[in-house]
Amino acid sequence: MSSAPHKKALLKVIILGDSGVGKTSLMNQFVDQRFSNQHKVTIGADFIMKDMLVDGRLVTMQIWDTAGQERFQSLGVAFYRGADCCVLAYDVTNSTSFKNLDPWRDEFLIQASPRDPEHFPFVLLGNKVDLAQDRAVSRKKAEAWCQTKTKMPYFEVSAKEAVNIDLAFQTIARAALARESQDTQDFPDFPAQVLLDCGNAKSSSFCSCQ
Amino acid sequence: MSSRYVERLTRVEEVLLLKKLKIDMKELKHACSYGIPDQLRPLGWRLLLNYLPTERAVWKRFLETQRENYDALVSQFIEGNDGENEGDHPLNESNSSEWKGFFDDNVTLAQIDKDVRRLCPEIQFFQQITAFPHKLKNNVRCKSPNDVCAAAEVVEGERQWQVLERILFIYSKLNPGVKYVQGMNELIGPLYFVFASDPDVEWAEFAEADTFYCFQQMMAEIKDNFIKTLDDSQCGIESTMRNFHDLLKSFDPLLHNHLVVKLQIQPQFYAFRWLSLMLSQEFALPDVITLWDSLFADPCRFSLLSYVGLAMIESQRDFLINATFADALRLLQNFPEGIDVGTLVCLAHDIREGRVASIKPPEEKKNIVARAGNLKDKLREFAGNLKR
Repeated sequence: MSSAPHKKALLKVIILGDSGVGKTSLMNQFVDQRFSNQHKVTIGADFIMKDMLVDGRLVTMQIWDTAGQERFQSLGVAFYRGADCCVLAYDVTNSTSFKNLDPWRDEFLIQASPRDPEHFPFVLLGNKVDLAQDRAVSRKKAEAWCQTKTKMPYFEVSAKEAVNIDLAFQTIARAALARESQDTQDFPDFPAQVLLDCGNAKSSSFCSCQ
Repeated sequence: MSSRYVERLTRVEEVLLLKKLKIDMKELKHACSYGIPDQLRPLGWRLLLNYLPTERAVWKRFLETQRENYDALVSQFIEGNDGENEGDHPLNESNSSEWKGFFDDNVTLAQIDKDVRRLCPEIQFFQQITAFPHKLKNNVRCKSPNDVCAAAEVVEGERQWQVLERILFIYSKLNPGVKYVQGMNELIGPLYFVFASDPDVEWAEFAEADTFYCFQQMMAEIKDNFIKTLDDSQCGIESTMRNFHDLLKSFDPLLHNHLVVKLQIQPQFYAFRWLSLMLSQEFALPDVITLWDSLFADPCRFSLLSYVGLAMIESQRDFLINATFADALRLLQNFPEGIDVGTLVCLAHDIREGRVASIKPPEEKKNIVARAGNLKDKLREFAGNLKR
């Protein structure tokens, strides 16, 4: 019998990648089975929850869709901490977005500073495969990159045509679940709750510690 | 038309009367603090943002000069200098290389392009053809087959978002320390919408140039929010966000305790967007415009913004005080529709000016409940007043 079969797991997933690769669209397709290229620029990060079944177990996915511009990276730490899986996304018609995967991965590992970074679960999504004629990064190239990153799972997806989205998120959830059940002390630097309230120099005189 | 609206219209009209040779800015700000009537807004914003001088007599000359200057910027940065520089080549990485600059520009342009195309998708305006394309109109388009650039579209005329693309590109060239940051598109949108929809065609014709200058004026006051290296400084966005949660804490410690201490909701999760974009993504465009009337008229710019944010949170207090992390954050990231922004502005002013008592935690718990009850009544009263 598995440990805690009745407890619903809460899995925190973060989506990173260059601006315009379709992070918001991927999330919308997964959550609402809808595609629209009419959504606003993501500023900071958007948050969405979805329940799903993974190997017969009900889990809640808490997905953070982040802003793509490099300027927002310094805010990242607020979002990255406690993640159970990091999804990297690039646009198969945009080679720059592929080249920037390394910096995104590095940035995540630095800011989230998980234990055992080598084995932290990442999943790579190559979006916009519906635009086959504009393809700038081959599947082979992407797969080769994944091989160098402890065999990161890779999916070629299309948020527009709902290609491989469910499959990819099943893998993401499974990876997150495996991580989550492994170690609850994954993020050693995560501040204890009480510190947030009392460590603040500007706290008002009503602070319970005074 | 409500009597309140007529009263407001009269007050703003009085300040802007033709016979007034010099606009009294203090009076104007006071008159506009709860909103500006539509027909006076384009002029009002130009004045409030300190673009137009206060002496009416110099307006004509001033505007002519500014608009000519803007045209010069367009020809400098967009028409471009196609002068051949001997020895320069596309792979030249030195900073003096025109090619290097060209590629850097393309990256900026591609980013701006992606963002202005998806500005306010819920309305048609930005997709429409402008009646006043720039006369030098060689639209900002990448000239290389760079993979980050979409192919130039063949359209008759120029779309409104293309005008914004040009303004933002010029801004980024003139302000290399800030450049273009995502979100600036959201800030420039309402300005341009107001100026380009001016029923006075003589003004609407120059919406582009005037938007550029007003955007620059506005950015001069808030650009620190967009500079990454200032994030941790006194003037950066991190400190603005911290102050915002401190404000919540001092006004409503119980709610702060629930949201921030218990649920661990950080201001980055929602207030970053509220504060850096001046709430432009939280409401529909007409509401954003009404809200900005008050923000621009704030004598202590832009301190009212945090109070409006606080008013938004307090307007949802009943829900938030018992909400789970997910429910609270969902609400804060997707502020419910149908909340009257006028009500929020009134509440924001009242909180700032001390007309609504903060909900201090007193010695006894029942007192807290009583005070919270008072606030609730107050909020209902406001809502009632403004819906009338």
